Amino acid sequence: MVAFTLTSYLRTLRKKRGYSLREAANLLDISHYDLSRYERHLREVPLPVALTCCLLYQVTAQLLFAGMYDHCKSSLIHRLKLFRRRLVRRISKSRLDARLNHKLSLVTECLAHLSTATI
Amino acid sequence: MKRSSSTFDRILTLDLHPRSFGYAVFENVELLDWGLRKWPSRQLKTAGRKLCRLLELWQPMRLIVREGAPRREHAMVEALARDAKVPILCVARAVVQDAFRSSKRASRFDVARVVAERYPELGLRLPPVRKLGHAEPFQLRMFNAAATGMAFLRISNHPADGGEK
Repeated sequence: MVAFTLTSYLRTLRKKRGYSLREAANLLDISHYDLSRYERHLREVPLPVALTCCLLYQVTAQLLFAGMYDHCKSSLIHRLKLFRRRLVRRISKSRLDARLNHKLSLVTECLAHLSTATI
Repeated sequence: MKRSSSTFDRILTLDLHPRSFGYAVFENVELLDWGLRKWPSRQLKTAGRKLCRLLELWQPMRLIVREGAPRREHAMVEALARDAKVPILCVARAVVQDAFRSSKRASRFDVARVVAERYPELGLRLPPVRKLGHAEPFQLRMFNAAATGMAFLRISNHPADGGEK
């Protein structure tokens, strides 16, 4: 069976901090129905709520939304690789284009950073 | 909460009883969720629905059941695990006892106390030691499930397991 991270760890962190659903919802200024849906991954968490959660539980968004972060990272790596391939093709046609070479170095740097970055 | 490893092994452990179960969810050695679920007698469908929700939410890679579960409840869990394609494993009571054995034979309350020491977030729900003639506290089921999970992690030699007794 393939191992993967969960979309978010909202429920875990709320319970670890000892907040009830209603207490946490009150602190986040949302209804407890909404919080329950976010925790069960039935609805996407709006950005203000996500940031407030990070502040309330004192963790980074990378940790709190680990699965979402991993998904975003892998899809970005895929798109960057495609973009780099396209750039290399364009550079091979017009070798002296400094802007393209600069872009290529930026993309390569970004890819190297993403492949070494860990949470 | 830390993500110390890039590989994830998420398990759901259950302590099944005739009208309730205690559960704990572990990701590597990290405790993700814990709690109790109960249902009216002879309503196994309700129990199944409650367990299904847990399986959907946590998507465990393995389902661990403490040995000695009632036959009907165990069959229900087996059927659900088969549907969800989650392998199911039974952990013997002796294995759990061994994992928490100190100089004397550990009672369920002793085990619960060790679990609460290892996972302080459970400490708030640690029941007082029961008096003679009183029923076993309901919350103890949750601690039994967590203890089963800890014993399983120990016997599977999890690299991130601290190995405390």
